[in-house]
Amino acid sequence: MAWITPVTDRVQGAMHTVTDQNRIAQNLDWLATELTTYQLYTGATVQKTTYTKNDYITVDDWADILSVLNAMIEALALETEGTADDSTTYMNMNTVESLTLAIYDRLQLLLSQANLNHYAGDSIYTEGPLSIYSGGLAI
Amino acid sequence: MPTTINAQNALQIREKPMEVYISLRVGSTATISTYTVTGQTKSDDSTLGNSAWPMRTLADLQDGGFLLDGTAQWYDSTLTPSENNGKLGVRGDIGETITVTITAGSTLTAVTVASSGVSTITKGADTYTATGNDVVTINSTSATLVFTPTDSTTRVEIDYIVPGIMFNITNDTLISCTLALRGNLDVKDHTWEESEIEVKMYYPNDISSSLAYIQNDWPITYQAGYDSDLSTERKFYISEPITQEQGVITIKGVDASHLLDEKTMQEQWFSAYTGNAHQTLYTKFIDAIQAAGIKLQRKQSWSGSQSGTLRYSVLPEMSTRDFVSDVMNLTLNHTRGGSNFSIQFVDAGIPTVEHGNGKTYGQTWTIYKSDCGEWTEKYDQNISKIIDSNSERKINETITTSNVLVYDNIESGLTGNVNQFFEYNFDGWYRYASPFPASSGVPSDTPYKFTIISRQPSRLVFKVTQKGTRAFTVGGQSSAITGGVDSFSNPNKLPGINVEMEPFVYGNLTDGTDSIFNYPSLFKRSLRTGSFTWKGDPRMQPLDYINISNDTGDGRGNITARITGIELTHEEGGTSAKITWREWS
Repeated sequence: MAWITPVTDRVQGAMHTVTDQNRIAQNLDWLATELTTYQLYTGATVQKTTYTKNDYITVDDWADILSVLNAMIEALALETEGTADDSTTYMNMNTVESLTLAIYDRLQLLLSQANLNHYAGDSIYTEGPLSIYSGGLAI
Repeated sequence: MPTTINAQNALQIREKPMEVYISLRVGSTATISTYTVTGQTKSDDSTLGNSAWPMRTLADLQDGGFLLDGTAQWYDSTLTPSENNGKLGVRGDIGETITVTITAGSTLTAVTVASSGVSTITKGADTYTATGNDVVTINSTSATLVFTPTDSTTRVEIDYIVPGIMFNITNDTLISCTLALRGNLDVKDHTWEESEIEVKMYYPNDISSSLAYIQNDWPITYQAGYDSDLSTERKFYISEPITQEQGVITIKGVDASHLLDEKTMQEQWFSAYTGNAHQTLYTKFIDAIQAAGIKLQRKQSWSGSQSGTLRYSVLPEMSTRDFVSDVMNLTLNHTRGGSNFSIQFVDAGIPTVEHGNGKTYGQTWTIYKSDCGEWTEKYDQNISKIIDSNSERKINETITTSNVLVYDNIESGLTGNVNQFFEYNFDGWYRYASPFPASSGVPSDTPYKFTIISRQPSRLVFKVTQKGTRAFTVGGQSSAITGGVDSFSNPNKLPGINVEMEPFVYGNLTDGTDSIFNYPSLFKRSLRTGSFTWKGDPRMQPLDYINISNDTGDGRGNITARITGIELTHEEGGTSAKITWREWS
């Protein structure tokens, strides 16, 4: 499974399709796997990642998605705007995918930091954003 | 876009067609005992027999998924079906047919099926095009129904299969709906007529054989407006056979007031005290309507206590419709001491009784003449005199009878055997007429015992249930009738027609010194009537008030009137009305 760009701009009247549900589940699963690889996360991955048109989304499916999402946010100590819940509104779906995207962005940031070839004391750090210093990757 | 009736009516042309909701419920004596579901089902919570609980909207990924408006629920197999929780019904895998076999203890003439995602319902050789709310003819104690999905990405969802016929008619299937809501403020021809509804709907399947089993009096309900602002539900009853021709089903119904014709009020004494005679008449009015089988939806209370002098009248035998019509005609516009003693019954699908000025439940509507079409106006002929048309009784007679119970002998020295009937048709009236066993004072005597079959002012029927040893007597309290007038003249002394009218009762009841059957008040009724067409409002009731504005801004030419009839039509997405009125001041 590969990362798929989340959809965060739903408006009133939006439908939730099998494609949307698979993207949400698979992106979270992909992030959980990646973060685990880099020892940033020790929690569970998403249990169900492939839905068909014959499926209902169950109360357990959604609880699992929220659980993985929130566990990764906590592991990365992300400060987020809004919290995903169990409502079936377009706003909530936007929140879920926005948070997913925020985790992805943090992961990308951390990966890019790990690739930096500068060290503390170099002048580049004196002007860099504080978040660059907040963590490092053991690569 | 405004979504209330008032806001839409304020527009020159409504931006949004009114929603119309009509339902027909025809029950069945047969009950379905078993439902056997086969096929690839996704869920089945054994609720096919329950039409009351709503289907849950699930977070279902079939076809194009589900709407993110917050109404969908995550599927939870542990949630117990209930009115609050909703139910799952039977839902199949996408693209799969579902088969349901039903069995009943007795013959099912038809069942009603609510489903979605279904293209056809097949029963043996019969195939019905599914509309979501379908009637399937059964005529057997069992049947197997096969539900075919609309396509390979849609699942069959069956909400319920219940005995009988239930139609939920909306704008989607409605061709036209016409309501004739009737009142009457005519002095001369004042019989209160029933209101009617006629519904034409499109239905693709031929179910005329099932419709043939529908009897009169099954309820039809009607509401219209906008989903956030619907009119009060009106209830009508099937009055003619339902027909289906070329896919068009026609349903006709009448309001509950049709029952007024089916109940005859027997001749009876009607007494009231001078301190609260109007209230007593109001109570009698309600009792008569309810005795006819009409369940009143709104009933204004009127408390009163007995005071003053007891007066007597005798109601002759009449239909409840005549009684109701006469009471309304004789009390409308009757005021005394600043109080209005009008007694009125309005049905039109919302049976209501009230007293006073008719504004407790009735509304006042403002209508601009410039919004109206087909304006007509006329004046009835002036009534110069009301003349008694009944040679046997006069208007406002006085019945004299002793307030102290005194029995007059009608016949004595009577004997009879067990089960022997005695019938008396009196010349005049007796109160408390009854057979009386002789009292000998001898303990060993066997007294006569009786059962009263009928006791009316001029008639007594009873039978002997125990033969006595001494003769018995029939007695009662006699009464005399005096006074009364043969006519009332219009106090304005203007020329006009004479109107013959049968005195409502023998005798008279008074509130204070005024007769509560107030013939002089009839001359107060305005002669000015008219009609107009208008955009219509499903909330309007007969006898509601309307202020018709002439748009001049200075009040000149404005008319205050009461509605005597509304013909409300929903057709081709539009709503319109023809309203008849009588001026009221």
